[in-house]
Amino acid sequence: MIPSMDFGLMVPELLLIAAGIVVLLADAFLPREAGKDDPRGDVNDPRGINLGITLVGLLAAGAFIAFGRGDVTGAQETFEGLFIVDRFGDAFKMVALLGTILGVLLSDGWLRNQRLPTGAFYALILFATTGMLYLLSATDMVMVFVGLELMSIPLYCLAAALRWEDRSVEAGVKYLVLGSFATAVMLMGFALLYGFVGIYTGEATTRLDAVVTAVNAASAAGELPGFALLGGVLAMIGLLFKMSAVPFHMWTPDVYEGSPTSITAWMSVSVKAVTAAVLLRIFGGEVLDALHLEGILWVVAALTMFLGNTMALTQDNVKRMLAYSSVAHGGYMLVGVLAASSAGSAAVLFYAAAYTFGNMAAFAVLIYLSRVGYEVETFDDLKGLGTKMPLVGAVMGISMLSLMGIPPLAGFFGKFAIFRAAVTEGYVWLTVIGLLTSAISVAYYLRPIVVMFMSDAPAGTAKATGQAWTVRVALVAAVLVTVGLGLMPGGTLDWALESAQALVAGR
Amino acid sequence: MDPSVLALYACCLLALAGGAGVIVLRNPVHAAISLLFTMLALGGAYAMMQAHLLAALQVLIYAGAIVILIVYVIMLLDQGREEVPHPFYPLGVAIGVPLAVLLVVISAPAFMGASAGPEPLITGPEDCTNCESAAVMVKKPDGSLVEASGCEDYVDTDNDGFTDCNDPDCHDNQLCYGTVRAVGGSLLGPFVLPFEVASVLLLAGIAGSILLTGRRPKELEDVIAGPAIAPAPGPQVVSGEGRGQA
Repeated sequence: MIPSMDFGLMVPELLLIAAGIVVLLADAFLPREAGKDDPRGDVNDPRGINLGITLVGLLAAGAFIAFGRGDVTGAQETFEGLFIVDRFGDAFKMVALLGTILGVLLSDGWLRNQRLPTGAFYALILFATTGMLYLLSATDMVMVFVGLELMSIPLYCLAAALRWEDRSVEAGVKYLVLGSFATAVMLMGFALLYGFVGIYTGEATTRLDAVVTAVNAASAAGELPGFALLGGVLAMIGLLFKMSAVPFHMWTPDVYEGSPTSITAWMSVSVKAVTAAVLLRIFGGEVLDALHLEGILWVVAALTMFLGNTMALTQDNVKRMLAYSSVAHGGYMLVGVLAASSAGSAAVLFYAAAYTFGNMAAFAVLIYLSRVGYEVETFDDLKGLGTKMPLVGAVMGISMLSLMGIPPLAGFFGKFAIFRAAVTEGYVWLTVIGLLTSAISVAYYLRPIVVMFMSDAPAGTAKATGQAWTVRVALVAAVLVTVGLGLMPGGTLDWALESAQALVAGR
Repeated sequence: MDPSVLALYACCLLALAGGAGVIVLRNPVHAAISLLFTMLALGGAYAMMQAHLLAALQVLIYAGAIVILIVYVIMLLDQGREEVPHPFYPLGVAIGVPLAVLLVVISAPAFMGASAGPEPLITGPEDCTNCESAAVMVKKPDGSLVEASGCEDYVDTDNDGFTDCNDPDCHDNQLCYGTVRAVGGSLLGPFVLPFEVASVLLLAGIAGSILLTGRRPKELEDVIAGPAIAPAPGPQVVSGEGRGQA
């Protein structure tokens, strides 16, 4: 039986796949030795053709999601319900795509500095983004698994892009081994849940809504067996790993430090946003309570916020510091996942958007300052930046203040929305922990600002010059949106709430 | 006891023994051979549970390709000759054994049919012996027993004297899950989307291998040596490792 197929709903995904294939094909025909005379030019892609195709694909996918969906308000399904399009998924798709566009712009700068070929690099980014979009449309355990793998496997490769550097290889191997292990754990959980649904309802199905319905019914009747609970826990562990929640965060600092800086930036924002959305879709609502996962997630969220923020205090490498900071921000998003009301889901969405732009601005500064043969990534590298290049220093400062949650920047409204939803849903103590850990975070977010503005640059340093336009655009866009979302959060908050209501209504 | 059930248990025991061997054996080659036994035994177990296609794939891919790959890696790394040290981790045992027991205790009810929850009751009419499976009675949430689905309600379309998975209206039956026809029907039927997305995944794997086999660009060193770049914040240091490889 061939299911009904409506490819019209899948246009963004298909556009990204097509762009990935075109990049791979175009790369084969690009002149190899061009650009040698220009020391900052790209060795293999002097005219930026690969970059252009990638950006066009991403922008087209984003434009279709923004303008091409028509007037349909409810959820639309195709492929026998394996693929769903709703406002909630679309909203997160927009956030993920915006993060990816910034990540690609930064990748251009990074690839120029490393003088690396671009084709496979951009193709992998496009395929991983495709995986993210499929994941955001997944309503079936099989699709969650396939989407998660399509998102992760390109990332394992990208993490090890600098094969001749030990750090990068370490990052790739660690991510691959631990990531595969986490996926296997999640599959075991899905298998147990599948078995439970088959036994309990007599119908073998991998549909998530059927699983949720059966779990809720069995829980209400008091006959939920232990292996179904185990299945729920294992399924959630796989997703918490991607979110790098404590205690599944061990890989995060090493992978984030060793990966290409632009990939670290992109991974830390987009993967996290997508995973939070999937957690909300699967575990949001009463099923969390039925599976006895609420307490577990509470503890995980509290530990994640606490450990992420305290471990960040002792780092000397900015990338590592931002890695632990991203662990902590994952914890704040988990608070929103716990408070899975429409306000809570909307808060997670807004938080993900604010974090995307705030964090991207910090990484953009690192890439802006780097040059061929030297990557800026320690606090010492930032010494005196505030006096030598005040504007770039200001961008870094704004980014840190936004991550800290200082009004009137985007990060403040994200945290405010999350904690307000949490208090409404009765998670008062978790909110207290969140506020206390935010206070801890001030210490390490202030450190770059102190280093930049209150210490002198070492003798012999000069202004960094000659950056690619892509890095400039990413830098300016990220910081403008961070400030803009902070000054005018209303429209975006409303948009987030509308999108979240689509999810909650469908429950 | 049914001989196929005995064979199933034998396969499972062999798989467990092979798994234990992978951990206990000190010579990497021996461990790999032990893994081969586990893979083969799992294939046998699948076959005994009517999952014929899965059994064939298991032998072909895991026992055939993957174990051979592992042996190749051991050979290339020249690890086969010496025995790896085998430290005993008391902490690992102290955590691992209780966890294993807990796993068995929690998941056993699912497989024993003795769960506090619903109980599948296997009842089969005598005339359905060649059916891939008999009807399964399942308790619904409201307590009523319904027949999940068996083959005996279907029409013997191909007139071979039995209603079984070869009959078109029966092969959609979920209990005919293991046949090539059923798996193929699922892959190109309800699960065609993940099947196609998996092909993108393979493409991504190819792109990844292109990325990971790339060489360090030669031009990088010329550029660093030249004066074209204005100094930026931070000392002018280049990571020396691997420079000769390009």
